Amino acid sequence: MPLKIKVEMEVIFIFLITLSFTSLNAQHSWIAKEFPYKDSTLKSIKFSHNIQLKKYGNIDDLEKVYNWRYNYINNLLEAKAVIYDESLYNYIDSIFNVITKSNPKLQSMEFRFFISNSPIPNAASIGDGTFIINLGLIRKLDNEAQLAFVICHEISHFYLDHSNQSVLKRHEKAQSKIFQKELDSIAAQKYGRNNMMKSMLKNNIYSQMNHSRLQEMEADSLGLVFFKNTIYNPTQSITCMNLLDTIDFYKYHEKINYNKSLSFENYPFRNRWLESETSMFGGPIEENYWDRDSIKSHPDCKIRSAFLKNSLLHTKVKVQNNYLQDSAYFASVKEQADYEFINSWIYYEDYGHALFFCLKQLESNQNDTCLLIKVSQIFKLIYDSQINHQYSKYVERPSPNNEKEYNQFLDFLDNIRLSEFANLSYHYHLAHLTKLNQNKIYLANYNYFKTQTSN
Amino acid sequence: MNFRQALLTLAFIGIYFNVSWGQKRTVSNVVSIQLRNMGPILTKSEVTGYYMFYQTDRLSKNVYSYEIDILDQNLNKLTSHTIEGSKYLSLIDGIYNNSSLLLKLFDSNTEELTFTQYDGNAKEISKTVRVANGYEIMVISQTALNKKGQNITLFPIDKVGFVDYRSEKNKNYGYVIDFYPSEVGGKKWSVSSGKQSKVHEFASYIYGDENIIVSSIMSKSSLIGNSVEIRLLGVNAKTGEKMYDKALTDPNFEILILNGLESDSDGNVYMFGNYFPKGRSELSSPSLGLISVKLNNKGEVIEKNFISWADDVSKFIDINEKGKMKDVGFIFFHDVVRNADGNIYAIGEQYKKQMYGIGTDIVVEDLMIFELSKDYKLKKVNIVAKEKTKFSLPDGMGMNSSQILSYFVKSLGGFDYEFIEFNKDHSIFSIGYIDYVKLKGEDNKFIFGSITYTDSKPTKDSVELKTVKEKKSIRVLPAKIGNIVIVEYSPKEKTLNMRIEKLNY
Repeated sequence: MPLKIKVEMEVIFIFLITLSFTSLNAQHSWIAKEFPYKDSTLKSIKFSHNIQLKKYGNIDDLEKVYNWRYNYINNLLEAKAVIYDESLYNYIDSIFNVITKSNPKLQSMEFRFFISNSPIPNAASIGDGTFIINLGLIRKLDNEAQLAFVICHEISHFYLDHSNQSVLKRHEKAQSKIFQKELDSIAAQKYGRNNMMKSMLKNNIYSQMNHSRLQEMEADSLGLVFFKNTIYNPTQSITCMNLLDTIDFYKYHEKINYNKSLSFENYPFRNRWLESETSMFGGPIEENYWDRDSIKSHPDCKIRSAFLKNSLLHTKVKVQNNYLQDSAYFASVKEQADYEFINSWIYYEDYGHALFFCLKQLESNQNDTCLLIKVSQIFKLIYDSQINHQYSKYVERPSPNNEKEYNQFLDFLDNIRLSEFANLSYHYHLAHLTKLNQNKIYLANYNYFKTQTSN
Repeated sequence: MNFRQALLTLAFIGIYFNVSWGQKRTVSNVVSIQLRNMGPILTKSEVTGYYMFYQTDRLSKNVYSYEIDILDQNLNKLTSHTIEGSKYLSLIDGIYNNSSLLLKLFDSNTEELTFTQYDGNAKEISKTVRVANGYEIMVISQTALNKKGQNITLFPIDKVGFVDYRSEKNKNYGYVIDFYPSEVGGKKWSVSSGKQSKVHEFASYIYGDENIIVSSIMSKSSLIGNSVEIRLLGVNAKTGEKMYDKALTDPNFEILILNGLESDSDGNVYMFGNYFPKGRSELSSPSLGLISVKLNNKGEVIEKNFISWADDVSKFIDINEKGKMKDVGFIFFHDVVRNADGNIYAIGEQYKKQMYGIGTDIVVEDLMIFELSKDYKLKKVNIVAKEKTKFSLPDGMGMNSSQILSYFVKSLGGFDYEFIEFNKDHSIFSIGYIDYVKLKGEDNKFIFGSITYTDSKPTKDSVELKTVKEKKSIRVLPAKIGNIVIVEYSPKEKTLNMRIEKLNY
């Protein structure tokens, strides 16, 4: 059978993201189109699911999981959380083609992929031949070869049927006499039932996560085999793994200089807005309930990187291709992703991250009108959420889990009062009015904040 | 779904509790919790965290496990601590003194009260157990019947310890003040009216710091009737020795001290209260005004300032609100505080006793904020109009004086004032209260109202909480400045949701 990366072409379309912002952002945003083939795509997925299910003899639990997968994809499309850009789509499709052409075992398999607007650097195999690649992953990677390795890894999950096997394993366990006895025993307890239940759940989660980590190592191993069969540089698998281990999500751009970007002649930035609160006990205290290593679904990147390095020890690297397609295109996608992320954060109703990344990008490009308009829009969104006492729904609070610079930014949003925020927003709009007075939304927001400050 | 089915479902979901962003917290592994079982932890008047206490399991016939969670000001969980106790264990109060957290627990089966102190890592540092007396049990039971009820007997003494007030029945009713030290080597002491006291005596907290604890002592020869003598008792906080025990006298007025504010470097304490016509009982007549008093450590009055409702306060009131001051009735002062500008704010709430047939209501009216200058001169009065709320008193209680009843109403959460919260340097503070809004064509709503003073300028805001028809229980807790924490308990789902929300000012 000829290689077929069957990406229902009518498929994924979408564009979307962002509320009504795309029209303002034409120079930076991928073109939104109506998704005309959603129904036929879903029909095709349903058909494919039925064939796969028959193979297993239509097990109830598996049927439920396939239904979940169908609904998940349907929801992604419905919610417009999938990006469709023809050139990007073709670019990734070509990578799939390279992989499948180089690996005859894969040529009879049916794959489809979607590109999610999520800024989180991740990819996933849904388990039915569908792969979700987050835009955040592409932004994080250095080159096309690294993306190809991640795709090889995800394909391996599907090839090894990991997802379905996990479901079947859980199904088998749930039906087992030992487990049934354990359940009966807990349910029959008069005392200490909750603690026994917690302990049982804890062990179950540890066991599932352990299984998941084994599967990840298997997918790395087979993924590397698939990857080595291509003409991509195999050592990029190690670089990719090391890269995914770094936390540089917040360091892509310059640090925000508040006294430069949010300080105005008649309304200077106040340093007290950046003050952090008194911490009661000096920060979080380690919880002992979970053994942190046991609840990780993935092994440490360092372990995985060492494993890949070891596997490549005796491989003579014949090819050095980090790109088979235009490297400039990959770079442009990454650049584009930064803008798209702002839309994504708004889409996911996380105005804190949206404004944070806007301001960070403005540091190096202060006259970028698209970013200036985005800031205007997010100011309005945050201001309105606060007026309606819905701030906590859209902006998170400082947390020990956040990066320091982001926590400082959250402190700023926390500390600034509504009246001060109105003033700051008004002076921000005033400062850029000459450049943007032709933009209807910017002008409307300027007038809005002018009214708010005059009240 | 029975327990076994629920177990099966949970086992493979792999998630049995969820923790989302810091500013929202859902606790669902809760067997039993009441909204009063959580509270703020304050460091020098600034909210820096929260505690929660809830039952999680039954370990044997008589032993249950309970969890104490400590959260930071953004609702991120810092630590938790498990304790064991009987089914009848409940949290009476929890307070922080900038050094340690003290939880007062009551076991209604053994009738034991436990005072446990925890350090900053939620590690137990001291524990005292004693049997509650009959009077305490009665008060605790009454408070427990009311959702908003809070047994206010425990007060933090900055960094050095806590004082707990109680009454006990000897020959007559008497008071006992227990001090629980936080410091290693600190002395645990008690002062009391004595078992042989010839009169009934009741003590209430006025002020405390590392040097002195000041209490108001009310003594009555008979429980019936309004004849009463009121004294101030100063006790050395380190040793428990009495420094003074004397009545505050004035040639022209009767004085009732209600709140303490602060002390100066010489050990003089500044206090506030109401004054009344000479010869009339402080506990039954409407007051003539507000008084500020400066007392030295011998209990001698160094300074007095009178602010009369009729002459002084009325000057600052809009003409259309003057009627309110003519018949001011009674004002319960919840707090007296000083901001960074040096201004003093006395926060009171108007109330009246209303008899109908054999029943009696306390009608709670407007919130009144008196702004005083550094030298205790009245600068402004801010009347915050609210809907009137009625608090029905148990049969027979109406015979007590309005002042006495106001303490009863306060302990059962009958006033609308909720709390005051400060920022670090006291340049900003918010006063919070619950109000009720009548709406045309919509269900009436409960709202949380706030008055935030920024550099002495007030701004009003209100947050909708729920309609009268919604069955969820809601409690608003103070938060870091400019925010509140809204706690919702759903008995059906047994989940407790907490979210932190910004106030507009």
